[in-house]
Amino acid sequence: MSGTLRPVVLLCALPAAFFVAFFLAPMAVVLIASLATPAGQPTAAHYLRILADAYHWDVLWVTFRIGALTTLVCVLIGYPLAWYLVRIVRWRPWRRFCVILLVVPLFTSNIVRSFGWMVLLGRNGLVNDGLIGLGVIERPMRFLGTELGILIGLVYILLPFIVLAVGNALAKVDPALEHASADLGATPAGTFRTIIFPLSLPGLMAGAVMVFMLAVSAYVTPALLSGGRITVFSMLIFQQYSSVFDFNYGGALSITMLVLTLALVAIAGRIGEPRRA
Amino acid sequence: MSAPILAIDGLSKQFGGQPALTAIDLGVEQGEFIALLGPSGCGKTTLLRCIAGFLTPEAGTIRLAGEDVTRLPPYRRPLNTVFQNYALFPHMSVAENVAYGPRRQGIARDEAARRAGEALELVGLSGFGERLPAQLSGGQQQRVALARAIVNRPQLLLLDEPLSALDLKLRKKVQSELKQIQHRLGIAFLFVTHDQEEAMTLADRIVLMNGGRIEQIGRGRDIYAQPATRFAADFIGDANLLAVARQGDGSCSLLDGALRVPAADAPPGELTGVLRPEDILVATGPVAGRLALPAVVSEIVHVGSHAAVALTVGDAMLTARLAPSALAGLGAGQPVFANIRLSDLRLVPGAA
Repeated sequence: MSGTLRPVVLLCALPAAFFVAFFLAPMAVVLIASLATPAGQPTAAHYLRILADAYHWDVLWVTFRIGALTTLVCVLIGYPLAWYLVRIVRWRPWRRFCVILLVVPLFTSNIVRSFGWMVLLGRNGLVNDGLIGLGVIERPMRFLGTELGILIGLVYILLPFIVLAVGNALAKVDPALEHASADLGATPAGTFRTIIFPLSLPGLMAGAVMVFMLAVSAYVTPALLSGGRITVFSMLIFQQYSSVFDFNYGGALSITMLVLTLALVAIAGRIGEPRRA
Repeated sequence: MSAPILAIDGLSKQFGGQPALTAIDLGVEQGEFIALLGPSGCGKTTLLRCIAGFLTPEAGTIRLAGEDVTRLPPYRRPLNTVFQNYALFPHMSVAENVAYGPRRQGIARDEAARRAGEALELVGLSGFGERLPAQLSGGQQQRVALARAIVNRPQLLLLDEPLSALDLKLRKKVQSELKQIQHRLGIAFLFVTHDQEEAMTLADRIVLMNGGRIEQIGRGRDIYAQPATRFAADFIGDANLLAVARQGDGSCSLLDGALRVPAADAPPGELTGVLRPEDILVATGPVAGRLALPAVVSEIVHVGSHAAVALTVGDAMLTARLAPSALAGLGAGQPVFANIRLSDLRLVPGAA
């Protein structure tokens, strides 16, 4: 009995140890620090300070607004894009090329790509030149240092996640279900509304949750595209750790952010949950 | 008789230049149970998909109750389909699945639910409405698929090998239920199968298909007794297929000349002689009223209810079917007589 049990225990112990060492322990360190004074005395003062400070609430509001907008725009662009890749492209080499195009930017550094957007979105950047050339605007628009600029950068960086998640879900929808729906009298639009969209919803929610979490916790892209005019929560945390060296207060900020994000994700997760009878 | 519920005229379909269906003509009367029978790749499923509207034929017309639906999309055709793997909507309960059709027809929720309840009762699944398809057994899922397809009361129901995923015992049970439901509803069933026994059991008429063409249409026992082609003779039941040599005088010679038959009314071209195993009487002597061919027993295979006796007649082989009681005294290597009647021998087109 124990002879067969021991390898199982060992096999489980390895990933468990990895999980504890690299996920649980750091989180515990941050959590404990957030509940302690620099001298090591337990305190809730950091959290009270965050709750009482209207500035933190403003920054949180900006952060979550950018996160929500990024998610929304990613969904609105990503779903049709995934649909195009999975349902419309019939020629496989082209589909493969599109997927590569989508995934390859993920291999390059966030910093490089965000710098790229700084160049594109600048006063004399390609975007302004193009818009003026098309006659859409007369004078260069301000993108850098606006929420719109951050939004554009985040959408660009996070779009692949939603396309891959939705594409995967759409590819799994059995074509026979669409036939059955049409056979029972549903128009193509009706079939999309009642069959395909509900079946792709878990994938869409997974992608949206991923995008939202990454957008809310993003540091590099907002930092580079904000031009110092807009502060998001991750920048506050970074300041505490890198400039102020207040690890306790920084920890409290991190935990606040984490709890709020998880709460929002939990609420959203209810929507995409597969039904149980 | 009233107008056929389904009338197919000169239907042809190609896939990438390869013909999948060629010049299909078929009429189905109200309340008929039709089996589309044939080996895999014979075009029976393609034909079903053309009728349902998932494929558009290159030529020919499909009429449903007199109306030309050849170019109509599936959702505008007044028929329903039971799909091979049921294609139940996994995110909907059984009741929602069955109510889906009425709901898409614009029927109010309550009325749709009532009709769904009725359909579920008809297939013996009352009380299962709240479950999800994944919580049902294969046989139950099959019934839900049937309930979903009949809830709209179509005049024609298409069934795409609906029983192929069930085990043998369950299949027999569902077969008889299917037949009962078809009788109760009085709607025409067009049933795709590759199982000739299933087709014989269920269908009023069998449409035998091969290579994208219809080989023969008729009642199962008629096709068995009077196969129109070599393929029909071979596919329905067991048959001895004998090479036929046409003689100069217009007669035909079979079994290396042991059999000679007049062939004045036989079709032109190459012919095959068809002799069913049960039409051969094996005895140690000639039987009165029959033609006695000297033969040697080469092998006896017991299949339970009967035995297959392989005989050598000259260079040719014949298989006879005997009741176990008739086997007494027979053994391999024994000279016997294969007693046949010329009226049991059919000459059909096609090389043996």
